[in-house]
Amino acid sequence: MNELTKKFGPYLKVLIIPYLFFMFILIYQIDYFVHAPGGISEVDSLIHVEYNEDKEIEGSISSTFIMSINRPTFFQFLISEFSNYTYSNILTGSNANYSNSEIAKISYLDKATSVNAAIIVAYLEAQKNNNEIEIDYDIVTMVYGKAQYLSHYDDIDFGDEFLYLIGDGGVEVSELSEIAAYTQNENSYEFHFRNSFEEYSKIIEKNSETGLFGITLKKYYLVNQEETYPRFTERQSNIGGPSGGLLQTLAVYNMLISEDITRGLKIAGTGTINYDGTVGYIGGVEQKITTAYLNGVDVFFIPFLDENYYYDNYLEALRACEKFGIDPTGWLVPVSSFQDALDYLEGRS
Amino acid sequence: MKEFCKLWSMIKSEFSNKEILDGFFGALAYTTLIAIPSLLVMAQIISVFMYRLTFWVVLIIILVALLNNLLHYWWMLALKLKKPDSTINFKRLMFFNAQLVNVFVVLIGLLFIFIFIPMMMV
Repeated sequence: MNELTKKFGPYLKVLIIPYLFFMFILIYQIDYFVHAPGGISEVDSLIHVEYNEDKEIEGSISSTFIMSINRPTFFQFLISEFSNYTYSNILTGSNANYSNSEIAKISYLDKATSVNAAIIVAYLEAQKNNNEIEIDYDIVTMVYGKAQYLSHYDDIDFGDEFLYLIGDGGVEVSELSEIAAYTQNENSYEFHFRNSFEEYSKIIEKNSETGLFGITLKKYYLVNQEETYPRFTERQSNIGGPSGGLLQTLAVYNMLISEDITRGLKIAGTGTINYDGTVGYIGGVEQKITTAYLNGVDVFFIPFLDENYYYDNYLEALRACEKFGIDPTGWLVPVSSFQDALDYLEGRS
Repeated sequence: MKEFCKLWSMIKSEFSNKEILDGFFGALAYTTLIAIPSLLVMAQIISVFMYRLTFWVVLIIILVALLNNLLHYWWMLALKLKKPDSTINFKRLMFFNAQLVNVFVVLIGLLFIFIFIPMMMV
């Protein structure tokens, strides 16, 4: 060690400042976000339905993911500027207040609940032609957002189930729509939650400025596995977010029916799925279009809900195609519901 | 292989274990100084240009192999500086050693490309 230090000592003295500067660029994070193209991920590697297992599926159904880097390092930000396919901007909205790990938690919560929605929609659709198929689900209310002023911020976690609160007059309120009506008189109320380990309660105070508790609760449908046939298994996912909902629904539906809706096509797409089978908007359209194009997909489904809305996903996708010189003919398919996607694939036969 | 073992036994007879390890850890410390920023750069490039993942993994394999060669070069240098009059063919020994490790690096890289990365893309 000493011999090397003697030999390299002079170089080290000269290089130490540039070295530390370079390390700073590699480590220091800035309050921006970068969206970059990602890849496609076959849904059957995420969800497996124990049904029709000898059925041969010729094509593939994949969801599309992008790289969403919140608070990139200087270096990540700089290199993203060299690519036409990436988009970066200042971090705003609720994401600006959350840490990266909290954003990741929300993202995985979105993913888990979108898989549940996909299962429910696909099973209900398949059930129409097959009485064997059964689906049961519970409606739960979960913590989806937290404001910085929320009391017990660190104790209440994203995804914790809201059970009830003790409202005015000692009434137990579990319905989301009734919370406002029963929390008029006091400044703080006792909320009851459940996480993976236990039930717990916290006294949550209203913020003096906003008059709000600072907690966002959202209703989700969670599949009751015990009462569902055929059984399915879901693998742990490394890709977060709800935008795979539509494609997950298509893939699960394809596992439940006897025919193969892929017909040998490499199908991808994006769009959240609602419990009524309609699709919802997603973000990062430009990056998803490039991802699909680079992966050579045959069909790419994209939400198209309002032709007069400038930021409608399909219209954004057409603009992205124009920007990158991609011909959207024949593979970019606008859909507003799961049924639209099924009808399109039926028409390709 | 015979030559490799012979060279190792020559080194062991000429250098104490402490000297060999001291040279190794010195080389490791200096290689780490270069490895940390290089691997951080690669990881951050991957995060932004994920759609060329396989290409970057191949580059990482090459980078790790180069770092391994550098480690061995500096190890050799440290030993040479300890005993400048030594007649041992350090170059040959370290080349053998480095290539053995490189084979291992390439195998791990291939495992990542064909097995682990597809498994993680869920």
